[in-house]
Amino acid sequence: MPEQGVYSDSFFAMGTRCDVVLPGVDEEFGEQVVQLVKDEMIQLEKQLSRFIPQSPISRLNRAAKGEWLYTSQTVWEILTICYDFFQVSNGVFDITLAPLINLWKTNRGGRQIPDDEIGRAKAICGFDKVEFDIEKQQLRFLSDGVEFDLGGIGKGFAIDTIKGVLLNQKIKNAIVNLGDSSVLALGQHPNGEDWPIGIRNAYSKDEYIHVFQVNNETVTTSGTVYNTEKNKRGVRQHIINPLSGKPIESPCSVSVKSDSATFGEFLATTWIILPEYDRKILSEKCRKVETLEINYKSESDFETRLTIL
Amino acid sequence: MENNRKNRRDFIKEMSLIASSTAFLSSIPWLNAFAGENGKNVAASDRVRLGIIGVGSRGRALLLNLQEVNNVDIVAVCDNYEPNYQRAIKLTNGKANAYYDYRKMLDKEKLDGVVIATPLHEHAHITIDSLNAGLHVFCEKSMARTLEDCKRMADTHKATGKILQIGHQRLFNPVYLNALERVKAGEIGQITQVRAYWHRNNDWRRPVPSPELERKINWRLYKEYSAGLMTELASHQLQVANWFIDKVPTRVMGSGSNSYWKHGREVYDQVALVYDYDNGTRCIYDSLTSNKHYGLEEQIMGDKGTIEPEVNRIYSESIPKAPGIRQLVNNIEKGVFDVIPIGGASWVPETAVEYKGEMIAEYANNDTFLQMVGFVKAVKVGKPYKNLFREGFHSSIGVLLGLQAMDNNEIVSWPEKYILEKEV
Repeated sequence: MPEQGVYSDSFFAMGTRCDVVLPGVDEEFGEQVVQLVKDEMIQLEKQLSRFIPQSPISRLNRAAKGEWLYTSQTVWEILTICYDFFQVSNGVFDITLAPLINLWKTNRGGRQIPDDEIGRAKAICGFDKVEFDIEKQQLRFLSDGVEFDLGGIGKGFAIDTIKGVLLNQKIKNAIVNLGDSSVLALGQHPNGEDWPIGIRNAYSKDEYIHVFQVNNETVTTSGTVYNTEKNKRGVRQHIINPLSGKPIESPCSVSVKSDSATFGEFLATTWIILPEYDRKILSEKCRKVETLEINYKSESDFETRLTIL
Repeated sequence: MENNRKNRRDFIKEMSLIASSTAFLSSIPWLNAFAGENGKNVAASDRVRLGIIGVGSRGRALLLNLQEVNNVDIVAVCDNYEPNYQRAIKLTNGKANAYYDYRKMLDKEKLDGVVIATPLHEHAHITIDSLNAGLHVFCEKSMARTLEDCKRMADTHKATGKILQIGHQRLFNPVYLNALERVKAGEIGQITQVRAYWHRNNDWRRPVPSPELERKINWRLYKEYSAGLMTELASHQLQVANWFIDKVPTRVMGSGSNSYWKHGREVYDQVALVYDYDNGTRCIYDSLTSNKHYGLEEQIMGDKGTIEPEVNRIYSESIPKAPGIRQLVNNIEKGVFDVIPIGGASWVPETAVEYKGEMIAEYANNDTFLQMVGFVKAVKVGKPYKNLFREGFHSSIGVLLGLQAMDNNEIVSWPEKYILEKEV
């Protein structure tokens, strides 16, 4: 087969590695496009990171209750989207769980967290403690200590933003990969009708559990299992069920194929937490979405379920 | 102190590990000082007798480091400024004979070598007198105030066969040595530019007890005694650039000014220079005294990576792709359509969450101590290390040619007579 040109580059931003693959694009243009993508991600990180003290999110996180607050257009946009997700998921998708996330981080090494500690952390969490004035684009905290953490949605939001950047540059076909968990597949593979994105078995990396046929869509994955470069595997207690205040402990993941990665991140996380009945209600509101659920019973045994909505 | 000594033995042990890489050893002859270092006591006759001339701030640091080196006796100290003279006696617990005049010291004492840390304009004649007196010399950088003096020092060093080691401690710094090894191994590709800077935010003025001492204490501010930022700071960094590029510059251009400090200082308070090398490589240098935000660095840039030795970082030009992406790119290039293994369990970075490069080497650094160890070893052997003096010479010449370029507003070519060929 003939050899084909492809420009690709990788960089670090938003706490992850970003790979960009641009088939049929020459080096000069490719470099420019990747620089635009990088700039966009750096800007987003400056806006959305709660670990950057000057970011608009950090400023909100430091604000006292009661005071009406303005924030940047980007932060406003993502907060209001998240608030919609919070409502539509009956409070399961909640970006104000930082106190619980921080608490469970201290659990590493097997420390038991007493119920009263969980209760105290839970009491200061809750998106319902935030009031939005949509008309004036302002918000206020109804109690002290509320903190936003966009870790569960930021990468998806970045993917959707990058999609706009690429389309502006008239890029038709591309892969953008943020840490393997948020992928944009624009257009198609040069030798195929779509991009075949393979979801692997977390415990056997050469085995595909499912392949999504993706064309102008995104694939996002949330889960408790993780891989590292050196093939270390493990279970992370980072997805918190806001109703119980406890993390999801079983090894599992949910991958979502959807038009929007912001929506994909929301759905993947929510799907993991939601009980069966509530999923049904939520799925009635979804269009053009595929979800793949994987529950690992052991390192060699797993169950999967593919839902096409 | 016991703990401190132990750490210092560790420094030497680290250096001996670096020295044990033989391929590297041949390009850095002074590392031989550390090869097979065992630190055991030796016979009294093997002890090295040193005198220290100039015990100001730098001289004091050298003295304290020398006191930690095995088999060294500091038998004489010399300073013609009373407070430093008294301090030198105190620092040596009165064991060293103290002098106001170095010539008397050279006459009276039976020394193996001297360590010179006087103001710059006094380096040349003290060094030359000491070499001619049959002594080995460690002289602080920069070598001398004038090109002619540098040359005379080099000529005397050659004629007497005695050691003349110039105080460029980075030559003994494990991070720099490791960085150089990685450069030689091709890790950052071909070096095409070194961008170096030293930025401070202070006027360099030292308090003066009485007005007649102004020029003696604040010698760094007066052209008669110092070339300012060039000899005091740039010399270190030009040495690094020459060492890593492994060449002597062919010419220099530059511009200097007094832009901020209006206090009678004669030397420039900021400088900017470009040094050219014969292969088109360049060292771009600047130094500033009114802003310290960027501090100091030598950014050594190659087509495959960058080294910043001051902060101990090495950066690659290409960040490794996710394995699945690597496979995808290969497939597209070959026209193959296959599943892309990138979805699924999220990839968790093991170290970097943003690309801040990697550490060059993990060392507890004490290069000033290590260079004194190197000097003492050389004195014991009685022979200079090949090519070590060359580093100090070219750096000293380079900064003075840079000054000439700025003073005369001209592009200055590097005269042949100021080039020392590499010894093989």
